[in-house]
Amino acid sequence: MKRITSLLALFAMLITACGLKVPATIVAGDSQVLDDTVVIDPNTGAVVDTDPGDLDPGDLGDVGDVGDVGDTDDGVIDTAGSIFKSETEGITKDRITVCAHVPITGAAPIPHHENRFGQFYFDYVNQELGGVYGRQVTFRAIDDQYYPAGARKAMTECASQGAFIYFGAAGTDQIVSVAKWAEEKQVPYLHGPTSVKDIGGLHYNVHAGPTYEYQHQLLARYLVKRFGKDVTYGTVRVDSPFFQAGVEAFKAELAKLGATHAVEIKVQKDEKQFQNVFFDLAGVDVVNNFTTPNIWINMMAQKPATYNPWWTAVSPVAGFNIVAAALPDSTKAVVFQHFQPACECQTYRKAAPPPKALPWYDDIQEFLRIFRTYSPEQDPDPDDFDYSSYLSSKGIHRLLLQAGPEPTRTKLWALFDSYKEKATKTFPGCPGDFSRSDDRIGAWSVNIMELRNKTWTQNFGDGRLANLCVDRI
Amino acid sequence: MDRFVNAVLAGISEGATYGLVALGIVLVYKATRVLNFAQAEIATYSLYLVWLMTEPPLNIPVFPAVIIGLIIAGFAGGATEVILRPLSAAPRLTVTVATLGLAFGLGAAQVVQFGPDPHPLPALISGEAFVIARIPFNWGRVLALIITLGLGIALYLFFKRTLFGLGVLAAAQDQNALKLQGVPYNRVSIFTWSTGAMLTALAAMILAPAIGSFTPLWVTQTFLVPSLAAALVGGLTSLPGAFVGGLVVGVAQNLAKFYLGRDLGGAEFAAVFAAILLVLLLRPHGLLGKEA
Repeated sequence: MKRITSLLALFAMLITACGLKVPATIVAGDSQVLDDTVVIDPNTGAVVDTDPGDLDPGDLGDVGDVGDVGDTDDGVIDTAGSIFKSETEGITKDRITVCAHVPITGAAPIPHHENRFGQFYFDYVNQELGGVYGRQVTFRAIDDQYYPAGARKAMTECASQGAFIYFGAAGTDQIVSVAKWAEEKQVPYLHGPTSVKDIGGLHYNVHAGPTYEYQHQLLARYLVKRFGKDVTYGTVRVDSPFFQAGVEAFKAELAKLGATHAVEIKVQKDEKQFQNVFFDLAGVDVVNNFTTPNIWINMMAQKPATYNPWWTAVSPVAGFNIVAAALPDSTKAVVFQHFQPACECQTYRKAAPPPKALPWYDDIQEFLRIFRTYSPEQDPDPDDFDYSSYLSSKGIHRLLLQAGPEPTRTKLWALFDSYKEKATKTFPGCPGDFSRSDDRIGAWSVNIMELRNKTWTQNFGDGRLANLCVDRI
Repeated sequence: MDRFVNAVLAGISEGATYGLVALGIVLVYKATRVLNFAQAEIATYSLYLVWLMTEPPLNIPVFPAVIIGLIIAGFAGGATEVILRPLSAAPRLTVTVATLGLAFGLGAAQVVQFGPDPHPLPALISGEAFVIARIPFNWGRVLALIITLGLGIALYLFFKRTLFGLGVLAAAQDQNALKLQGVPYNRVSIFTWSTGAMLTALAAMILAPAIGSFTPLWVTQTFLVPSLAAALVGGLTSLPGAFVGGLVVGVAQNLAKFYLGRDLGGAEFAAVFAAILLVLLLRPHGLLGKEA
């Protein structure tokens, strides 16, 4: 249960950085959690900051125009010591290609047309802005079917035609597999959440989203804030080393906050029967269900009727719509979803038109215009994934602009290294850090989603849009 | 003690599911000496059919959809027999391997046709029947218990007390002698394969809602190993043995899960194979099995 969010998160982060003023506390790397929500008055649509934190919605500047990037980088960068097999694979006189593996089908799918993952935005760039330094941008999204071999196959297909940047949307196992593939092939790979422990030490990947360790720390803090430290916490997780680090971080953070983590239960990925799990979960009030959508569905079907804890998880994916439809009405669940952009916690919800008071209202209007003009499907009705795709693609766009008219992979890597705790012209005010060291994360915000009437929603019924803008650890 | 009691009860609850699937395996084996792996995927296909029938635009109620699904499963089982008839003189192992190939072919077709996403299936009777200790027995599992026991006895009597049943048993021993007696062997054979497929399909339709959802190759992935184990433990030639074997396997599996499963992944598989080994060392034909 992990996702496209990464891809989206990466660029969402990049793009949202533009034009954003961030309080000094963030820039300075304050380690305190900024726990803020953007509150919308359901009657007037006005933004009401009733939970003031260091990140004041009033401080949020305009997202900014794509063109407002600043000077391009025409400086010469020495590529003699390049770590990449090719500096300009995927770049021709006329075209730049970026290529992603995405779970269009599989256990946790985002069943969108492939062009909705980014190409619709670049059709706008190509047709209305003349491309990037005269080159047309192609964004290929290839279905990985949510399994590792499928992801590698997708990347191999990308490589057969060449790509400047390779992306991994989501899926722990898929990302780990492709990160190692990228290491073998010496190509740059930007990817979504996984554990730092899994692929730390590799040289060709960049975490584009919060790692599992970080997400679980955030989750622990949020849960204790919401439910208190006097309730009992527990975890059910897939018996896989890729899932272990996140859970260790979860337990450690709970302990630090004085909360009790009573039990950790491992299940096989293909486990179907869970009587022993419920026996061991007896008395646990909040369960971190760090498993898969199939396991969620099966567990809820077999759950004793009298056992009704709060279920929670990080990084659930679109497949969770299938989960929501299958869960009993009485299921209480609150999860993190981090595919939304960072820093200013922009969101878009399909069902509810954004109020004009929303700081990013104009950006949403622009998104709707671009999506409805260039989406591959007739009468498209965009959802929040589409908005994330849009923001992510804006980030890629800015990245490519920043890399200059003669981009190379070494320049790209240098750009990532430069995004550390300082405002840049590409990402003014948002110190998203995409460095390749092991303890860095990129995304700064997660969305909190709660299960209401079989639907994952950020609307908690009182007009609140729940986001958690946090400082990095 | 609490943990032990709950493990045994959970084992009975799950074991009934294995016994029901094992019944179909034993039926076909008893009559043909073939382990028919294809009936598992005929059963999964029948789940997809029931799912399609109960969803829009057809919106057929569950019970008639299940009946239709069972009938189609029966036809598919009979069709399997016809497809494999050219192998009737071949060694039984050859036929078994052929059914395995058929099973995976059907599984691949499911992926292509329906995709890999999980689907829930509406239950014949939903909800919890009762709770003993802390183990809930939902209606699916209770039905599995009742049906396995009842069908096991009914089929036992069928084979022992009816001419047709005796003919089915005789077919397993000597086809030619049966034909010389004027018994329509093909009809007997089709009956056996059809009934086996229907039994497995019935098991799948009862258990899919109880477990939660199904995916391609679901019956094979979920039940093949434990049900085969149940059939071996109970005796490959004993229909009541399928029920007993299912309970033994279910209890062994859950004792391992309850005591070791939290920290030792896969302990339940070791327990299942240990149960097989132990029983077959002591009683090579299974607990209730014997040479036919």
